[in-house]
Amino acid sequence: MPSGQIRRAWLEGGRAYMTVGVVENPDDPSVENNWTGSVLADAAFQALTAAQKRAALIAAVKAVRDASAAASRVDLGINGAPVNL
Amino acid sequence: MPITEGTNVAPVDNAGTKIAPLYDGVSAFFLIRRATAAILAAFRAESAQLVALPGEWPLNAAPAANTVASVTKAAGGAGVRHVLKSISAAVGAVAVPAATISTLQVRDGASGVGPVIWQTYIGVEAVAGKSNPRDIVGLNIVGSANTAMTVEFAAASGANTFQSISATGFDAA
Repeated sequence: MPSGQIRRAWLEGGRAYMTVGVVENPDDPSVENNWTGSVLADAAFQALTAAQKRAALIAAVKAVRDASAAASRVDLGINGAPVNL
Repeated sequence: MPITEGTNVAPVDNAGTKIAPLYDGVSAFFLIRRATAAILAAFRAESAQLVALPGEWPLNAAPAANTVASVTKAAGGAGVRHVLKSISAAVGAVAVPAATISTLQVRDGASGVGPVIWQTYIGVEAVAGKSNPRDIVGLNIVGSANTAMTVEFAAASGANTFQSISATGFDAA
């Protein structure tokens, strides 16, 4: 199961950005692929709580990663059997 | 005072001088280490008299269209430095993109924040189905001790474009 850690979050050009480092290969936890997502940092976003902002940015990062992984992703089921093949 | 290494005692030459042919800056070693699989797999070449470079770790990133390719080798621990040996990167497009130039960077640290220690530009023309690769071997870029190393593009290259990065290196300790 891939795991990720928030590495960076910042505001730039009216958008809020977050970078999450994801260990895509559990056999080599020393390598992280960095995925960056962003949302419009408008008044509605600014009104969110810190936790809500964090959740919105994480969702944006997940969307970026999923877009790249969708074509090749294999989810392992019980006993390691691929469930989407 | 004999020179010892474990239970072994350094040999002497005809003049009675202790022989310690290898020195790593801290310790003398009179038993030459071979570049065995165990030494190479450690990615550090520790104490080995090498006839080949140590095994290299791979990094790669190839995200979806208009997404930044970025990959980080985490800090290796106290005293460990990452040594980057090769980079193979490309920017391509499946449909006609807006012509642009992308910056490929090596950072001595985390994505977006570590100091840039190496960089180059890769252009993409407004042509569909073209990829502009940049393959560089023979590098020897040494990072700071116990510091991550990141290879990434500074930004996405625009609609219809794809970025890819592969890099290799080893660790020195």
